Amino acid sequence: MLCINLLVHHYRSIGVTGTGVTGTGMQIHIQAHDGVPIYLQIVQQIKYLVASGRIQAGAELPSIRALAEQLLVNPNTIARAYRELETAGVVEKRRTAGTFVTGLGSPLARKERLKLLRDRIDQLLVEAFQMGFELDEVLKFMQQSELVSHHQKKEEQHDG
Amino acid sequence: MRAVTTAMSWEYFIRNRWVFLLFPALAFLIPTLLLGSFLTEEFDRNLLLSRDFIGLHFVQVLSSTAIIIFGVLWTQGNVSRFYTLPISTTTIVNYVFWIGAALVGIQVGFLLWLWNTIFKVDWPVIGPVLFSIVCWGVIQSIFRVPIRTLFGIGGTMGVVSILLFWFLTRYGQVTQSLSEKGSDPSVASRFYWFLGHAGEGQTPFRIGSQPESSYLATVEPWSIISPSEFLTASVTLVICYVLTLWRVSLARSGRPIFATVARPPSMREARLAERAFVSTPFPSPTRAWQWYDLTTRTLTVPVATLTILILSWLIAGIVAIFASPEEGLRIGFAGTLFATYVPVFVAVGIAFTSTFVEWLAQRKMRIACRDGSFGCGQSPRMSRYHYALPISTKQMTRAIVQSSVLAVALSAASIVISFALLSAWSWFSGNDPAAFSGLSAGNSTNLWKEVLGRVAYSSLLSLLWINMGFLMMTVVPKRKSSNQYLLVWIGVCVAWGAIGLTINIGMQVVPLSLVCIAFVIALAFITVESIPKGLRELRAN
Amino acid sequence: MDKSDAIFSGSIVEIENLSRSFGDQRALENVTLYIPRGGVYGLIGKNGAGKTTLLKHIIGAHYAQRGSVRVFGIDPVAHPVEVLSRLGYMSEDRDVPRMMRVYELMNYTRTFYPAWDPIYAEELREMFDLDPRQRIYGLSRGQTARVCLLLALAHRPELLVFDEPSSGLDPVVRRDILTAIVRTIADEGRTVIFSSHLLDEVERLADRVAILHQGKVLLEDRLDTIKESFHRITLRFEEPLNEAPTMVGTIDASGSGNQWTYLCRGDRSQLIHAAQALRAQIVQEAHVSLDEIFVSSVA
Repeated sequence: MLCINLLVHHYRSIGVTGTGVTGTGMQIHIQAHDGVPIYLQIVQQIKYLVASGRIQAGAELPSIRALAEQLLVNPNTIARAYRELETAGVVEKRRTAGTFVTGLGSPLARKERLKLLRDRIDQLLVEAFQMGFELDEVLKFMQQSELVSHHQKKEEQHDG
Repeated sequence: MRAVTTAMSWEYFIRNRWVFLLFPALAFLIPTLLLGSFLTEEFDRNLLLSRDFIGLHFVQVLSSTAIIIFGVLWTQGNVSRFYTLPISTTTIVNYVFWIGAALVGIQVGFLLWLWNTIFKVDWPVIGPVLFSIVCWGVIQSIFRVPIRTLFGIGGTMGVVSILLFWFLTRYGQVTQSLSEKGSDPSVASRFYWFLGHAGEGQTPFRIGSQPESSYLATVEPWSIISPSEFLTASVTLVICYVLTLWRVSLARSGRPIFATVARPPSMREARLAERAFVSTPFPSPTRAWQWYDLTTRTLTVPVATLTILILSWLIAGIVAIFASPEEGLRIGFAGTLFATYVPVFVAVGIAFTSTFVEWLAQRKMRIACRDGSFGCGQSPRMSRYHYALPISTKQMTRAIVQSSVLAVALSAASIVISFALLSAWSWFSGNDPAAFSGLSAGNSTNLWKEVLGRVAYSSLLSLLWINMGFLMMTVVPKRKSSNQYLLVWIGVCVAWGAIGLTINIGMQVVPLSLVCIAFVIALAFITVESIPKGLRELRAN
Repeated sequence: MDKSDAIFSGSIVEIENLSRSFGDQRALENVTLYIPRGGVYGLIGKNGAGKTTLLKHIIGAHYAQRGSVRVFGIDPVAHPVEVLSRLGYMSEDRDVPRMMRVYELMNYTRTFYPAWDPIYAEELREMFDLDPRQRIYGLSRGQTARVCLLLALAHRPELLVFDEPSSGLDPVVRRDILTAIVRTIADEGRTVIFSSHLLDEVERLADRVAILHQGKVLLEDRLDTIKESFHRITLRFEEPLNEAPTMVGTIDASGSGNQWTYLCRGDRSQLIHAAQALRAQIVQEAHVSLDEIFVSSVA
């Protein structure tokens, strides 16, 4: 609950486009003046890009220096972000080669994805409740959504 | 266009209102007081027209011209306030220059007419009016926008020297009589006769001893302007206008306005710069700094000297072709001799300019601090870029001394070369140079001694003055209020001026001359010693 | 950072008890700063706070009226060559000689710096798209700034000192300047000191920040630490209140009824304890931008 506002901020600032295998052209946008520490913005955005599959598992992240130049941010900040991502298990540092995204199947990464999803759901529910909807209404609207039927059709195709 | 000029004129009057009357009133005051003191019942009015009272006319012309010009400059204000308006630079300069010239001429003319009416002195009007207009032009081209480029300074020197010549020739007879040179015709009187009577078939050399009656003949032409004089004045005025236009457009947009006007001087500048500049870096920081000091400060000395020499050679050539070669030769010698004074004047100018700029900068900083505004502590004196370069004070001093010596040496060399060429010319045409030189030397060996002596002395003085700015900076105490600083600065200027005069007078007397030379050399050393102190001040204050 | 830390980690600039007046105007009062080697040091403050004066002391343009200034352990006023040859400076007014051409100015400046790398200088010139035969007075403001940047970078100095590098410049040139700063500190051991009133730039780049106000140092610490010590916290109280109850470290409070938002400074756990003590529920917590930190500090 405490972090909702932070997430609202960071989701607004996420850049959308993708990734490439080597991570060059990785679209991250930093907003320097909205209060959220820059290293945190980077951590969150990379986590999201990984979790949503926009950066493939095993892909190499740009070097600290390259990303610093791209974002015009102090390299120490990038280094700190990478350290946090490493602690969270999202990336791993290989000594001579660079920084790579860990595999999707790793339990820590899955934990991260679950956390992100849960936060998203919380955000949705908070907004819905504030607008005066009840939980069963929300669930009904979710099922009625076009995306859901589209996704179900796709799953049927896969199974079939 | 008319509407714009009307608007600007209206703005001019609205800005100033009653201040307008202040300056003519002031200009009216001084000569009036002087004249009034003479007009008692017993006083013979005719005496006022005589030679002895010509000094009064002198004072009147100079003081009223100076005050009126200052007044118009002051009331016009800073021209940069027009830069952001959607009007062309030509419009701005036309407005400032020509209307200003008209105002100056009208005011001076009016004052003279007033004096003539009240005191019945029958002073000439047209000559001084023309003179004041030309002065206005010269001052506009020098002071309107301060741009230090070689072309600007060279052009300025040329125009100022023409002005000086012209004025001196008016009073050529006076200066001759005042300095009591006896029967030697002075340089100035030669030129006067030439300018006033060129084409009339007269030569300047009837002057021997001057009978009284010819005196009025010298004063009277001031109320009649000879065609050649008018031509000189007009040409000078046009040159001043072009210079002003060039300067204002450079200040406004960073680019000179006319390609045709800009190209010749900038080519010359570029050639001068390229000669001094090599495409590989300088061998050492000292050489680099020396080049920089030379091209932005000290090179003005040889440039000014060369300009005068070239001008006199041109005039000598023209006279030699159209009148007689002997006259051309005389004029060449006269010009070369005049050129020995030029380095000293320019060096003094450099000293005073740098100190004045220093004072202005201090004042600006003091005002900024007093207002608590942004800019306090920003020392606007010298380019921060330059003093953040890793060069030691010793290297800078060496560079400055080298550039000063080089500049003065160039100047001296050009004078000596010009003199040698003139001597060669006179020998080839079968004349004795000593007779034409305008110096009272007996034979050619003495002549050369005299010339070399003059050149050496002038070079010494130039060296002394060219770095005087540093000495002034260390002598004048800072951190006083700007008014006190100004008073002290004026005091120092007066003191140095008095010392200079004393030296020059002392030099006339042979036994004292050695003492004077020793004194000058000592002063030069002190100046050089003060350079590092001054530099340290400029760098870390 | 106190003196013992400074000596241990090696500061590149040591300013102790520096005071400076211009006439009766106090520009700096008892300023003590230790700027560590490596990293970016940001000086922020309003116009007239003393940033430029402080930077000028570092390059030796002002002598220390009271106190001392040491750069690389040397007094920059007494030994200008030793200090300035290892330092790259860009002044706020970028006053390079205007009549020179770009290549002339490069050659001229090159003479003074033994460590000048002509190949690197040429690369920079091409990257900045500067016409070598163009005169400086004909360049736009942004181009002049690029020239000054080139001159400061080409000899690869240990220390870069920039006074308001982005002032009056368009975003494209600003990008060049920020990129140059990032590249400089990416090299080991090089330091950048810059003053700016554009706080988002300082937030992006600075490791440590000093806030100057009216000649005094208000705040000086690592940027991370500063940001972590400020909080914006919204509390919901059980009953509506007319006034916000005082909380430890509060700088500002606003709101109405039973919901009040505080801008506070201090340890986060202390804040949570205080909120619990007031029996309020923490509804929202947010970070405070450097902008707000600055404004609240100088108010």
